[in-house]
Amino acid sequence: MNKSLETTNTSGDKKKTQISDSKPSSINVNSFTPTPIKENIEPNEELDDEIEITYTDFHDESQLKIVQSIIDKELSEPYSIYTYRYFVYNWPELCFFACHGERYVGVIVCKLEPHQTSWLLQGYIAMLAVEMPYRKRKIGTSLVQMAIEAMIDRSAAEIILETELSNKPALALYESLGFIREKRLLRYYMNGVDAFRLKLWTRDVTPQDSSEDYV
Amino acid sequence: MNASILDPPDFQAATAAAAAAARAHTEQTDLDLAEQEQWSMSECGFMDPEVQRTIRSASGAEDITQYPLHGWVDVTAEFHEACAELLPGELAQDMLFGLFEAMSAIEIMDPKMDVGMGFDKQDLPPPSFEAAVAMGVIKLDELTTAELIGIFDALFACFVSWLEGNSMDQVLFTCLYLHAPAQIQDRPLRAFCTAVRNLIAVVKNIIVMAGVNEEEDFQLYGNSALLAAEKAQPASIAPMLKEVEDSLVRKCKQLSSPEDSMSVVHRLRFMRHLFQAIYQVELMAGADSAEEAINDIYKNLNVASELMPLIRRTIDRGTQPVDGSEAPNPMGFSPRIHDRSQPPTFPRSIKIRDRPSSYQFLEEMISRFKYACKIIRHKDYYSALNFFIEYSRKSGQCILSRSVLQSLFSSSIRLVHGKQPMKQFLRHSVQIFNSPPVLNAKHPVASDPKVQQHLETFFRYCINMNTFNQFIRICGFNRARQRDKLARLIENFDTIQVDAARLDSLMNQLANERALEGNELHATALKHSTHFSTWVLYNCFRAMLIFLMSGFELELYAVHEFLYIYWYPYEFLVGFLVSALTRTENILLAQEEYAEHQSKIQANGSSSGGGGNNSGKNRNKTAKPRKNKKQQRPYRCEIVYYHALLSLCGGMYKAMAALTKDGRVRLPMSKFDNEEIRYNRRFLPFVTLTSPPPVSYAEFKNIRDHMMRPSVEELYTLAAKHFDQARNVLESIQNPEQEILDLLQIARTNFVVMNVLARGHQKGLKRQPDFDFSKHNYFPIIKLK
Amino acid sequence: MTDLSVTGSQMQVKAPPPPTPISEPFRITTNAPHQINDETLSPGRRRLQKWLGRVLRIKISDGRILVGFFNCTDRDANIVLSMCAEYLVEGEGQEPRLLGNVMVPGKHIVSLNIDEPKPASSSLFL
Repeated sequence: MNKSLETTNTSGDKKKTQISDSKPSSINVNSFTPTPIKENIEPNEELDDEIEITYTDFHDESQLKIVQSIIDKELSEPYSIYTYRYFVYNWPELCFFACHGERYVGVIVCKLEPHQTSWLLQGYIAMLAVEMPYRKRKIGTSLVQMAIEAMIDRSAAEIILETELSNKPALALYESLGFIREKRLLRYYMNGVDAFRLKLWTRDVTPQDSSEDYV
Repeated sequence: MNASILDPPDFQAATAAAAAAARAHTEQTDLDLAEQEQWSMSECGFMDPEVQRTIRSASGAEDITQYPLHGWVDVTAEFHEACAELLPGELAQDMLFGLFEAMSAIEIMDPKMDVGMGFDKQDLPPPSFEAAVAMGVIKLDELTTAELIGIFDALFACFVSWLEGNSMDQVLFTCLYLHAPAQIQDRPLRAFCTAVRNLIAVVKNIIVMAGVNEEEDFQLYGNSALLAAEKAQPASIAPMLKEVEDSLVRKCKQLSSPEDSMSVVHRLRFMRHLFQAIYQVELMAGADSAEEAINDIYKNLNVASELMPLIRRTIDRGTQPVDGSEAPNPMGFSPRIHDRSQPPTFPRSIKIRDRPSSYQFLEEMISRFKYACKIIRHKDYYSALNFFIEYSRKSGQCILSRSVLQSLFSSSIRLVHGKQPMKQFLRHSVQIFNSPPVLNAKHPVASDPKVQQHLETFFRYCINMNTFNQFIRICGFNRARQRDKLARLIENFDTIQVDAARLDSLMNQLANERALEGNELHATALKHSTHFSTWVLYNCFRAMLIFLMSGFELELYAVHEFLYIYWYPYEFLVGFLVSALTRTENILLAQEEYAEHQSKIQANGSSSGGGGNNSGKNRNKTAKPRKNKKQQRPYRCEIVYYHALLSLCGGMYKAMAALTKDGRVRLPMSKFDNEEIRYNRRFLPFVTLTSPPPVSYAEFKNIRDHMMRPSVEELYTLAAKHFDQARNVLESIQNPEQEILDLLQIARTNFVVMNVLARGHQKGLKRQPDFDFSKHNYFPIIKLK
Repeated sequence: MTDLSVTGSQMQVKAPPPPTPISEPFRITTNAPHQINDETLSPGRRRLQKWLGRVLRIKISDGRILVGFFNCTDRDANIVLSMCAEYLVEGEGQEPRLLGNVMVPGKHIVSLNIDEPKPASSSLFL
């Protein structure tokens, strides 16, 4: 399996996307620290603070099982393997992994489709998970950043996702990237918990002529 | 959209991914489509799953149970061999199959998805009413009082759990007695179970008619077959219960210790009055007099609430649920009975409320209903809307309470308070609000046919647009949906607003015509009136303010967004409201002075010309308003309240500016964030309005940049000043309600915090403070960490 | 409140791109007419092709019987059935529970039966 540090974009160019997690590239936030999602679980191994996390995209069927194993562990909602297939087979270029050496420690799964009425491309972050011992290292932020960039490269006008009301770390993560909570969804999940619809507009699609109506 | 109409609500919860993806796919259009269809949607909603299933199977699907057509051929080995030829990741799939639909597939043997997994075969077949009778596990006759109390209390608990959003089958119809009350010989039990069944039917009707439920609030549908097995006869319930009560009471008289039996009587009586009250709500649409009907409802509610302490005190006289059992009572309930008839992924962990908290719920619900009855006193739009807003804040959690208020107020979009036409109600409302002379039937201008024609057109338009009625209805929805619907409503106000402005200018035009004709009286009455546009604008402003501030309540705004959110009401919206109300008060005052002046002239004229009787009457009439001149400021309280809001918004706006400049607000990564887009999106529903005109981001930015020029310390001090102003205004309010006291505490605390920060406290620590909204939905207490 | 409102001109510029074509290694064998007569397919694939769309009866490890239209499988025999009916035990005369779409993981499959004419009479269909 190709464990290089490269991601392949659709045009076939290879670019090195090494994001060292200790030096977040363009974050001008002074006090933002994501916290682990499940705080009562102890990290099961000691990790060096300066570990290097590498990122890679989906390029091999065997990675599907990895997506499944990382996400099943971390998310409350149950998914069958065909759900993963739906996303990963249709949008392999929007699936990214974080690796520590040989070990897969995080994954993001997205899709990008034309919006039903406007035909503008809408990105959707379906799943994001980082293994417990690797939290608090901005791995999630880096994965989301890569996904956003990949979707912007493919002309996404906006990117949406849903997350649980109680998932403060995830909310903080997305908010730090400029997502806003657009809508509250009552009893959205199977467990009866409320959710938020989060949205990031990658470009202003408000019609030009309507902005002239402004004062 | 089609999918969500056709699928029973339970399917919604199917596999999360499918739902999520489908939502991502479709829900963006919700605002467009669902809102357009919002009223018809709810009508489509009441299709039972049975009907839906028929529709689906009629749409070309086949009945799987008719297979095999040829016969089963074992292919186990061949199949696995064939699969092994597939490459990793390769799929063999039907040409009509897509991965999207595969997402909705339930994974068999997955404990989270597969309900059938681990089904205990000992349970086969699941005990039905008949089976339970045959097995002798339920008694049909001569139940002890303890058994009766236990079953009654358990059924009330199930009823409450149903109202809280659980499916009817999984709570109420786990009670085997409800399946066939006619076969119960024990009279109290039969009467009670029949009443429960009718109560379910009536409650369903009320909720369907009110149309303010959403799939996430309440599951309307359940085992319709079971409910339909015996016909609902709501009119017979009260007499039937009464008869059983009476005979029990007679029996009690012969008992040495009748307490237990009386506890049964109290429950039957409670059921009778609760049922009767709710049934009368359902009948409101046909009531001859809304006053009388509501009076009766209120009386029944009163008796029910008086019985409550007697019932709560005797809960322990009933049989109690067995520890560790899912059944709410040892006899008569079979919790798993409907598992096999449920949709594939129904929620498995049903929590039935315990008995004390169920009665607590009922007690609170009854007092909510009693409060809702007060709607009858609110005869005009302004006060009715205020009542609805208040009620929504206090009783918004309970779908039945919300629906009951809707039913009590309006039985259709054209009728309110029983049989009053909406048009008449709105006319009356404008008259109450700012009293345009043209609406005063006694005023000579009212008989002007041209004027009447314009008025007729305007009010017909209001009804057809349904905007005002809808604003009230929106208050009945759950808080999250209210915001979505308000966004849409605000847009509608604009067209009404245009029409109102046209009406106002027509009146002015007519004033000029009448002046030319020499009809001074008509001309004066018609001139310079902005009555109608002020009325519409005022309501539009209210909708805008509720929309904007509801984002705090729903926790939609990030801390870094607070600045522009508080800025808009501070800079514009609250000011608009204050000026609309002040203008209204001024109009009322001017009119009154004019009327006084007019009647003085008349009085003088008539006394000189004789006819003393008339003049005496006139004098009396005109004397009154003069005495009550102070009371002619009907909006005083509200204006003061808005002054306080203005200062609080100003305080928060400047506090956020100071905190931001001080580096204490976490800002999003500039790489993807775009404040202008965020700003535009947050104020999007206002963009379509011509009045008030939308405020561009550039304009906001100018104002903010200018405001943020002073030093951090100065900014904190400015914010403190606003909070101090708010405190002053709030302290001036006499007999303050709890909300005012809460706002006062917020103003005081934030004043102190701002001053502390202005003095350079924690200067080096650039930590974002906590914003604690627990005191008020719109304003936080700022807490330093 | 159109969320993604655009002007007409923008719409022309931003026509929806075609869906991303599924590339290797996500190979798909279907029973579509253009594939059904593909002689180059391996015998196993051809057999699966023939079964797709027919009714499959699966016995699973806890004894339940699932009957539904065979929609999809992968190498591990993770089978997707549509309009699936669930029977708790083998045998006649039971009320099934209707499950809609289900995915039966290969590891839980005990036996598979397909509804098709007995091999002897299959010549009629050829």
